[in-house]
Amino acid sequence: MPLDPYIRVPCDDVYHVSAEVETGALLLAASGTPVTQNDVAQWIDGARRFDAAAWDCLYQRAFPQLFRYVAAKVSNRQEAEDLVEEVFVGALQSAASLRASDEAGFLAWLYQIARHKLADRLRRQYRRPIEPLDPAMDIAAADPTPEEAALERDTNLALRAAVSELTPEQQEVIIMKFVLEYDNVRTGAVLGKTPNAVNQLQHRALAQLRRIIGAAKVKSG
Amino acid sequence: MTDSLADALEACRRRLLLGDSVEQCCAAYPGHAEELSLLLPLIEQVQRLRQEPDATFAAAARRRFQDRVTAARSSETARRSGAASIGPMRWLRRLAIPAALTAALLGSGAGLVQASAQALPDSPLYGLQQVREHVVQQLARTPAQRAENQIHLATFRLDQLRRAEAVHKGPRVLGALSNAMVAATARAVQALGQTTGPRHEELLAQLRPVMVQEEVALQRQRLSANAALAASTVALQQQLRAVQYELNTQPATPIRRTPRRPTPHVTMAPTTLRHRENLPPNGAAPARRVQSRTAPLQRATPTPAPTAHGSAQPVHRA
Repeated sequence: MPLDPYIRVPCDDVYHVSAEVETGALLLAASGTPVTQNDVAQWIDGARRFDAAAWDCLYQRAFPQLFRYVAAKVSNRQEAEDLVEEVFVGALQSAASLRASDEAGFLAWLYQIARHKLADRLRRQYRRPIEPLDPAMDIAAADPTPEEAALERDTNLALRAAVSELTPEQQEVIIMKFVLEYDNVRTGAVLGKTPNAVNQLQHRALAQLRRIIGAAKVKSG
Repeated sequence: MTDSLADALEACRRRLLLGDSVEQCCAAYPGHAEELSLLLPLIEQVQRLRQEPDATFAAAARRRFQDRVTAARSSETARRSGAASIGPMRWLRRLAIPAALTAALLGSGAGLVQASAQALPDSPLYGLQQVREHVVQQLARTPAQRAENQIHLATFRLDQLRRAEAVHKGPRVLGALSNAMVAATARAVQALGQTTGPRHEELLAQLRPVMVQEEVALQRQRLSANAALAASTVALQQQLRAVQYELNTQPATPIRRTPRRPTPHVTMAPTTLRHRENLPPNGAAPARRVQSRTAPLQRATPTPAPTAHGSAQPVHRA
């Protein structure tokens, strides 16, 4: 893919974000080329000018994280895929208003758009409830036996319901720490909080989650 | 959460990702084994919510997004080139629609106001006409302007009354016009009472013939076939006569409250005053007499004072 001259670092093969993402400092591409925050800042700058190569680099870095984020919030894979595409289209439409200068800021912007899209979708569903056509399309339906799949699906549904009862900040911390596997520094950078605040939030969120799940187990008998 | 527990939890989170079990983690941190045994299963459960995107979907979605970016870039380029081709006058283009709308609104508003000028009380534009008259009246700054406006208004109502009679309008229209005409005349007389001088006379000369014609019009209306209109006209005639009486009994020079001029008075003792007088050097009498405070003050012209040579020179205050 031809790149604009200001894109110094090719971003092919960065689709799979490596474990070094967790350090929050240097992001290492699969090709071994170090991707610095300066490179990301250049891509973001190019994205504001609708540069195709810059958008592609950002897309490849953000797509898997965004998918995990959205899939943790909805129960249906198809719905998650639709939402992720909607989020990127929304991001492209409002690219001129992008104020981020680093990857954490860019991801925070994408997650914000995702939350709006999710809220819109929930509002629409509340007005016109739609039943999923095929339970096999659920995210947890890839397990070997139907019994296990059903059990896994029920467990995940109960867990999602429990997570959704947390405060919005607690939900974000739980998803970023344990689903997106960010460390406290990166979670704090995306949420605009200090690592200590993230630690406190995580502690309260886990305690609250335990209480909710315990209460649900007692209720179900 | 203590730092050590937080660290242990963070380390265990990574170990769980790498494939360690909850038991192994608890064994690695025996000091926090109890808390970890409660929290790690929950973390493990939450980690199972993580789902990876399907590779086929990811590739297709990436292609679709690339197409969208290309399309967005094309439209952005077209928009920018379009904006550039307009050049420095593009701000004018942005203003064109608001300016056209404003002009249309103002034009239609002015047209309506213009159209309302000839409206009679049965027209929907009569209200607009009254609003315009009210605004004109509010803009008058002096009593003379107010009186002139009301005289014009009374004349206009008289004309309207004649036109309404000519087209055989009903008693409601005629009554409303007569009422408005007499009210305008009364306001004109009231404003006239606050004017003075040649302008007062000029306005009075304008008003008197109008009132005569109003009387004639009311008399004609009183003799009409409509009993209700005739009855209401009697009251209007009485009102007009009262206005006429007020006009005739107005003083030639209206009483006006003018700011009181400070009364000059002299409180200084005559000896003190003498120092301020330009006294002749030969000890002759002072040039002017100091008046007492109670006596009416006469601003006399300086009297000539005798000089050493016997000639009279005007004396001025120092």
